[in-house]
Amino acid sequence: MKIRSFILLLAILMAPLSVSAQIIKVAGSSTVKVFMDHAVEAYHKLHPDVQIDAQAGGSGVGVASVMDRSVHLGMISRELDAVEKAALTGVEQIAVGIDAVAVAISDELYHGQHLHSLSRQAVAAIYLGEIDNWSEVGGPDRHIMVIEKEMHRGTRQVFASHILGDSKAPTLPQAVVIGPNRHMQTLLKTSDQAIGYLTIGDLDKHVHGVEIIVDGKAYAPTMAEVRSGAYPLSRMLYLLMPENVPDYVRQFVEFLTSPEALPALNKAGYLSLQ
Amino acid sequence: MQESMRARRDIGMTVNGWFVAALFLLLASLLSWFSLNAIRSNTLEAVQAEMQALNHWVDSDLASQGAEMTGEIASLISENMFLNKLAVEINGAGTADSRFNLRRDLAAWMVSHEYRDFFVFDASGILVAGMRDAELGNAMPEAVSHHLHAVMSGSHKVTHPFATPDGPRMWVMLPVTDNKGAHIGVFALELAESRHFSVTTVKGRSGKSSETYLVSREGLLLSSSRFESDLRDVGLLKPAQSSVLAIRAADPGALLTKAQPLPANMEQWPLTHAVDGLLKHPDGADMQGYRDYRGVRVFGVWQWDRMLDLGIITEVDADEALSEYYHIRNLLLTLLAGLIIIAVILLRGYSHYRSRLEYEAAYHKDLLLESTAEAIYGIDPQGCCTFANKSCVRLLGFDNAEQLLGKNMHALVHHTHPDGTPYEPQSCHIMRSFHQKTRVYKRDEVFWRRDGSSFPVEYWSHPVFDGDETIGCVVTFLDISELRDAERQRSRIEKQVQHAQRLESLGILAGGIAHDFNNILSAILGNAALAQRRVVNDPVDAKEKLEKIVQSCDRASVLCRQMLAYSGKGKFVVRPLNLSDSVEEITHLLEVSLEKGVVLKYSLAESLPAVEADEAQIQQLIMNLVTNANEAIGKKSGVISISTGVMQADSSYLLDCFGDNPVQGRYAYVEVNDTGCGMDAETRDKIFDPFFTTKFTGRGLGMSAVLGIVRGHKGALKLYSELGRGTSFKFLLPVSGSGVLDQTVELSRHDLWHGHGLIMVVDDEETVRETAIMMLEDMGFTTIGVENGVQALDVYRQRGSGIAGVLMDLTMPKMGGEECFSELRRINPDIKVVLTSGYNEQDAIQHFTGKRLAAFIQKPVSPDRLREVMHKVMEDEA
Repeated sequence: MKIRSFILLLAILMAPLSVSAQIIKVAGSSTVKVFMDHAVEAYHKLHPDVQIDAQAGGSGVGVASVMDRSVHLGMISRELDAVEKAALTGVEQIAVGIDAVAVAISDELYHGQHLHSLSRQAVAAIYLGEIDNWSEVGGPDRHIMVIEKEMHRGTRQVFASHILGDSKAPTLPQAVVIGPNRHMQTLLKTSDQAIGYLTIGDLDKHVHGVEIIVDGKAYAPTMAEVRSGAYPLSRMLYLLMPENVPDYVRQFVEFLTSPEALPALNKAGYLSLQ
Repeated sequence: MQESMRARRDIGMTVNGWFVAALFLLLASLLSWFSLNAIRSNTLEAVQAEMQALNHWVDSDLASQGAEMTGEIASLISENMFLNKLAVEINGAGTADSRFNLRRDLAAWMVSHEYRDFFVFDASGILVAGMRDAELGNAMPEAVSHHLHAVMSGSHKVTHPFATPDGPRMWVMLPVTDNKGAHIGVFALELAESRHFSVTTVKGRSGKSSETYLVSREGLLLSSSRFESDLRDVGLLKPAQSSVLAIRAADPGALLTKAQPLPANMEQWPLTHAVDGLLKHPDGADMQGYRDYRGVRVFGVWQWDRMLDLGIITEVDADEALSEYYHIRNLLLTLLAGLIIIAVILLRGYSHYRSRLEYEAAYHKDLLLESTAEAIYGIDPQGCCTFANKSCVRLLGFDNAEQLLGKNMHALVHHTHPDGTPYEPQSCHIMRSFHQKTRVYKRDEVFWRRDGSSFPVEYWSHPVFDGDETIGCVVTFLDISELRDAERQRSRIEKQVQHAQRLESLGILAGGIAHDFNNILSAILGNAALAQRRVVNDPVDAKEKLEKIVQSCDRASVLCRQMLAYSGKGKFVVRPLNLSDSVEEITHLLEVSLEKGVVLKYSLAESLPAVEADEAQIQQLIMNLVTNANEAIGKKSGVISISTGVMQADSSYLLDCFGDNPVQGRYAYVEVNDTGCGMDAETRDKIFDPFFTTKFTGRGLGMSAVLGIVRGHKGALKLYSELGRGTSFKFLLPVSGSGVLDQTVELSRHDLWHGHGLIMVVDDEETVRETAIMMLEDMGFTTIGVENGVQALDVYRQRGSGIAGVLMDLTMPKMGGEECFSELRRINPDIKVVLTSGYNEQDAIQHFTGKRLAAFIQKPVSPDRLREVMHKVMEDEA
């Protein structure tokens, strides 16, 4: 026992310094980071010598960080626009999963008031301030508390582009604007009159996603629906990897795209590409 | 014996070694025990301090969180607009719109500040506003309603967690104050889980088992346990159930394990020692160990938070707390065990090594001791034998060493002197060497064998030291019987050689002496004839002639005596001697042996200190030197000078001398110089070799004898020679203590002496007898002359006591002097007999030793000598 620890100590002392620091810096979308955190946990068990420092901040931060090469990997949960694509030459865009956004309401509205579906137009009208009472969409006579996420959030962009037709559509002035997903979860859980949107992985028994009716067809926010590609409010999750990253970063990315990373993806509530 | 002693010493050493090792190990164990105790108490102190720090930290964190929350909420509700909105609701003036606006205004702030719900109660605790209109009119939950009064009195409250169907909830409650400062209602916020106690107490976790948790007065956990999965495993928690409020910090009485069912009557388990302590005393610690709510033995510290009305407990598993100590203890025990093993191995190895070394040393020592021809034995301070080698055993006539060991060696082998007198232990030289701590060497003593015979030994006694103290002696000895025989043989041969050489030189002298005698006889003959003719006509002239005859006779007598003395086989008689006298006594001999052209010069010191020497040998020595000098001059003319004197010879002077390592001191010397041919270096080198000669006729013994004599007298011989210039020999003899000899005074005393009484003169030669009678009568004695021993006995028997003394010749017909003397002694044991003989004294009286011979006179008898002897003999009678 003692001898083993002594040998270990010797080994540590004698190990070349070059292998001592294998740090991978990752930054960007908080949506992707949820998956990243679970994946890092799994990867650390396989490669204890590699330290991974993942920071959230949104897809914009991910793009910017890769641009100035302050990180090894960028996380984005939306498509790159033309300007970004032009700027990111020599950067590989790797899809790691699919995120689907559900329009969510509290258990009280969903079950208590049997409000199970909303048309895309109705949701758009609510978020444009044209509808402000649940009775107008078949619910009880209650004001609708519109909950929005901050503009730069990936989820908001997915939501806005699909519901409002513009990923950068302006926010309703009377909406409650919050940041992280869990704040959305808290409010939707607590309030019996709020409406918001969440990645489908964040739905639970207190917060339910409603079916979206598009062109008379209802799409339920379920895994099967998303993977089938039918569900409209979905987005790809990407990693941005510059070409000249060290091998150990490339190795980590290979892990993220392998079946070994599936449990992490599932834990995060995302779907794999396959 | 030696073997057994060694074996005993070996055992002693081994026993000593084991004893030292055992002592060392005992000490090491004691030291380890003390160190371990110190380490244990240090460890426990450190652990306690660490837990206390954690406790305080959690406590202050809770306090600061409380202050932070109340601070941020207070600043929120202190805004007039917000306060007004609350007041509207509390006063019952609120509408659905106003409540919706309130909600919408508060929502973002609420979630971003880690709250999840809000409630506005009126003064009576009825809900007037919140997130859900459906709940309006409900009363404050029972779990927190007891705070209503306090909050309405102005206090801020952070509630304990309270159970709801969706899990534990926590509120923070503040009073709502109207414009006039009155408390009109309560504003409560439900904390997000990230603000629950559990989140704070999680920070108190460290290591593998240390945890900080909060308990209520009832002992219920107010923060989550670190060991929820363990608690679920043993059945204390349902799956997914939080430990908060579900676990009571009670001692199950035994370690809870998955395998065993939970002890019965869970509600009646006593509170753990920590909670019990908490309820009795606001803070405390237990480092002896007690069972926590899992039944695990832990150490713990605790303190009561009055503000939150809860206890904070930090506990660590005893095993973990002491793991370092256990580690060190095990290491130390391993080391100790290793040390014991190494010590045993080393000790065994060392004792093997030692015994092998000793065996080898003893083997070599024994080999040396037993193979040497010298006899060796050792004695202890009492003189008893401690060891003896084979030679010793053999020489002393014993069978084996055991017969000697432990015996007093002096009493056994050294008890008697050679002459038969007892040898007292206190004068034993061996014991003396022990007492005086000096080396002793003796070669004139004897050891006695077991069979009672003795043998001459040469022995050395070395004291053996242990520090400054002598612990015994080692005695080495040799049987020198053969050596003694050889010595005797050699000395006999040497004497024979010297004698032969003397005769040889006598032969050389003979011619000269015959010539001298002829001259004397001519003188006697001439004078006697003249006297015969003139004795009637001219008696005066005749008397003159007769006196000349007497003088001539005197000369002849001296010459004869010297020759006799020279040639005689006289014993080596050492007596105080004056070297000048010795030279003078042989002047005639010297002179007659010289060549014609050689002149002899004397330069003799008048009063010389005496030397211990044999006169005959000294004279032979001088004779040889002079003869040599004479021959060196040869037919030419030359001078031989003989000088005597005394000198102080130092070691550097003696270094150039021949001799037997003479020591520095005062020496009397005789120096013989010649003006002869001298010697070259080669001759000088060989001159003392026996049978080396430069002469035709010589036998080469002269100078060899010279050196032998000098050595025999512990003297030194100095040689200086230059070819063509001459040679100088100088022999030195150490001065004896008896000082200057002076005989002249004594002689004059005898001149005046006159005797009386009847003296019988026995001699077969008439002339001699008559001459003696004349001399005795001249001295005043009456005389009676007889021809031989038979007549002498007859006369003595007749005259008996009338005869005062007898002057008797040694050699006579019919009955010789020896036999006659014996017979006379038989008649009268006290009879005084003076013996005369032509032989020298040594030869003549050797048969009379111990027979009380009164005196001896060598023939021819001179009147003076006779007077002297008679004086002495008669005075003794008087």
